Amino acid sequence: MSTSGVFTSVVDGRVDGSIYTDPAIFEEEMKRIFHRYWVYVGHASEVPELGDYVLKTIGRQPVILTRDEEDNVTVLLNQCRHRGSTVCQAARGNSTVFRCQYHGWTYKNSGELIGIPRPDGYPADLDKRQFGLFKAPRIGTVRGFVFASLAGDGISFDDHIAPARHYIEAFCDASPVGEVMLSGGVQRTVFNANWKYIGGDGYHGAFTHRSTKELLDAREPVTAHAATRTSKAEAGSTASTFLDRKTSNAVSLGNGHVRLHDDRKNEASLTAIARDTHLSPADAKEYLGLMKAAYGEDSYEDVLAQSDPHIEIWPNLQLTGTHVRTVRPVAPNRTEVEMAPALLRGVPESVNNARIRSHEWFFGPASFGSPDDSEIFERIQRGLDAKAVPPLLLARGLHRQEVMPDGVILGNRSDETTQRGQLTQWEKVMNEGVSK
Amino acid sequence: MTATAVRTSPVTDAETLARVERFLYTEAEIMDDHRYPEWLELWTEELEYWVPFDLADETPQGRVAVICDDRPRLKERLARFDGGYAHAQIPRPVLSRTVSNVLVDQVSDGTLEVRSRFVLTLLKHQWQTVTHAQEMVFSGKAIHVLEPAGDTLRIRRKTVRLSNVVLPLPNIQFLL
Repeated sequence: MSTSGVFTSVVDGRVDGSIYTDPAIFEEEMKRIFHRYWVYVGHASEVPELGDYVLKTIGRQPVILTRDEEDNVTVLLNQCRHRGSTVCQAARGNSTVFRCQYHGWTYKNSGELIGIPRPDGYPADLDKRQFGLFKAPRIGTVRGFVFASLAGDGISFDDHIAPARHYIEAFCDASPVGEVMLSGGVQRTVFNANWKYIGGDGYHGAFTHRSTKELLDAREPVTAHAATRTSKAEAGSTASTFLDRKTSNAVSLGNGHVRLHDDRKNEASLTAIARDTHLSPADAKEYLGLMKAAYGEDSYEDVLAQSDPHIEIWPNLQLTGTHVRTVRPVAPNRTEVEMAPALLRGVPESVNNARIRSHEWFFGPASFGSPDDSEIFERIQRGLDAKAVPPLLLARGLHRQEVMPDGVILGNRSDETTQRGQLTQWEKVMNEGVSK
Repeated sequence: MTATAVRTSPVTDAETLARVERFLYTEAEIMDDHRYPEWLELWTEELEYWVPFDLADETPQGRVAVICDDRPRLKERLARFDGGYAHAQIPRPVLSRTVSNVLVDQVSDGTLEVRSRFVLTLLKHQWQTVTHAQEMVFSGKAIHVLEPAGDTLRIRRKTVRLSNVVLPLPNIQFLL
């Protein structure tokens, strides 16, 4: 932030390290992005039954994702309207009401205040409707992915999500009925570094993930089953990292949404699917049969090829390989990341089990891939204690990226087109002002 | 690895208890010292190593885990640690664990089920500054299913109920 109060990110292909370290900037990110703009909250499959709830966080604010008695998925602030205590403590559960245990104020799971003990202490005409749990004023959903804005105004959800919507749908279409379920549990992780390092880097695989490449190279070809789709790309043989523009791209879609594109159409064979998701040959055959029946002989391979969008939906959701990743900034130098395998509705249990085991290979605190990302992020955070001038370089591919007529920017897979796309959006939203 | 109900009976003879404890202490020392090939030798050919992410999970089926290894996956885990490119383990954390509360049951088929508790301290010391050092405590319950192998024991199955899973986990790039 300059003295003029204007936030800047990438200038002439350089970015000042303070956006990753400055506590004052982090405070403004909470206010201007997480407590105001559209953020991903959770998935409807986490609250499948009427009355189900799960605790979530928007920025720093405690919220409850609920499915009320009318089957509406709602986002409520977890704060009693009387004296402010949280009204829900369990991480998840099922309840028709939330009751504050301080003075017994009671709310329906849709948020309406229904009970005040000894109401004679208030005027008889007290309007309970004014004291329901605060609801996120705006909610948007795509295939069960629930987003919320805690501000009543600003860009509409449809406009915000438009550049990413197709890819969320493509991710879900790995299921023959087009639905994913986050019912396989979640890996909750934390590292000591800034949230903005995460994601969209098509350049790091060959170095950061060299250990996974060595494991894959050491496998007998015939038993090479366990790699996830993502791990293949992220394991980053030099060849896949530096593919040319025709087969692989770093893409800035607009509104901060970015993705890495790999042309997988030729891989959508039975062999590739079995290898990528750790499926047994019998399960692979059954899964492909279901997909063929659902999407048609001519289309199902395209559907499969597109079902790993490797997309970062700004600011805090990523759909990569077989998993859903949620980013939760805690402090300028501390970030929590949740990684949940996306299970497919409409497939045999064994197929989903294979997806889970394949997810664990690359993702999670004890896995072989993502811990090295966390480690590198912590090294950056330490490195930024050095105050070098001029600042960090984020110029890779700036000279060769192309702006398409629809505003989409295409670079080579290893270009920093993606990070520039995210930071351009960061700058725009940070300068839009704060909520009332 | 599933929660099959097996008939067990408590083992009280001093010789067996001493043998089991000695085995657990040896395993702990090998894990603390990052001696990965030696650790692999403690396992039976067919093996299951499971660290659930949810303390309520009774089976890894359908649930994402911290670790869920069969022999090929475990061998990759150890090869990666010793391969020189597991950045998250460089420098290797300094580990020291205490194993106690050892309870041994004889499982009906002749194998032993051993429950124990551990407290593990970890020091991550990159950059050699106090500011950036990470001191962590990991604790939990281990359940070993041990089979006799000649005059020693081998691990057929190991489940670790890691207490720390109730909070977001930092990198777990060492053996539990």
